[in-house]
Amino acid sequence: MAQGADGDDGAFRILVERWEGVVFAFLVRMLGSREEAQDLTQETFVRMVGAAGRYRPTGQFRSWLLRIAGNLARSRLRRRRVIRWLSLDLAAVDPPAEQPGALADIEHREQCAAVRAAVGRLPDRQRQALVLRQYHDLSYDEIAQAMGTTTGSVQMLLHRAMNALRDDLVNGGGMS
Amino acid sequence: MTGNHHPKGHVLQAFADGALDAATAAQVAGHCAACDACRRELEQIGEVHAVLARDPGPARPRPAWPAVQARLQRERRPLGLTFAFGTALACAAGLALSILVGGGGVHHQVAGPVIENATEGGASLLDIFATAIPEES
Repeated sequence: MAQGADGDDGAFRILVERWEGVVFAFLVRMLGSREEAQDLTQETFVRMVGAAGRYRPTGQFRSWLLRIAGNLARSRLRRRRVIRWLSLDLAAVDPPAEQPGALADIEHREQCAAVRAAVGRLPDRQRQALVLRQYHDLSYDEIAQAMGTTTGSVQMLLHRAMNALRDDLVNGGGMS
Repeated sequence: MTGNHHPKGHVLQAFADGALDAATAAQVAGHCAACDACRRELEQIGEVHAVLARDPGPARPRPAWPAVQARLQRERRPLGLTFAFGTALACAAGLALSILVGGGGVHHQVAGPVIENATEGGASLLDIFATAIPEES
């Protein structure tokens, strides 16, 4: 980041290539749309470059970057709601990545679809906390940093998210 | 949390995530060893995690760097230079237009005579375009 802030675009390029997969996966799970996620992935990195001069390496870079992406995602979700109330069906918008031998595994695909839809129905902040924990393996402290909140709030958000998912997945047949 | 006091749900969740400090984690573990309800709660948390883990996530995105770099180059273009370039372009366009309309005569300063002379001199815009674009046979 320091090299980038000094005008070295090569350093930014390395950062983008290193982190684009993480940012993109996070945004897909937040937004349920590959196109929007692609768009906001670019925006995240443009903002990262813009903020490079103000970056202080006191915390985790990953948390800092995902905070930018999270703010953009929540802003986009709020804007969506202003336009129309959209029930996120993540599975319908973005099918899961195919794995070797999984193409014919309809049950597996249906389970993935049910999981994505259930995650997509969570309130924004619960979904953000859950995605950061479950799919990006952030610690509670890192999640708190990425969301601009306290560790205690993260505990509550995750607890509520897990309860909601359990109810949703049991009712929807995603788990027995 | 000891005895009949069950840990709260968010504490069990943090325990399952390995996010508690060692002393609290030891207390929760001790309680769960003797409490069927809390053990069952922990199992259910584990089941939800297992279901969530079945989703492999999205396929790789298109590389972001080319678009990011293009955006940065656009946004870094100095505003003063852009303004100066725009002004120069506008001046050049105005000059070119006056030459075309006025038939190249720099002595035409007033709008009325320019139009009149342009038609007289045969160098109006229409004339020029008419000669520049060959007619289809």
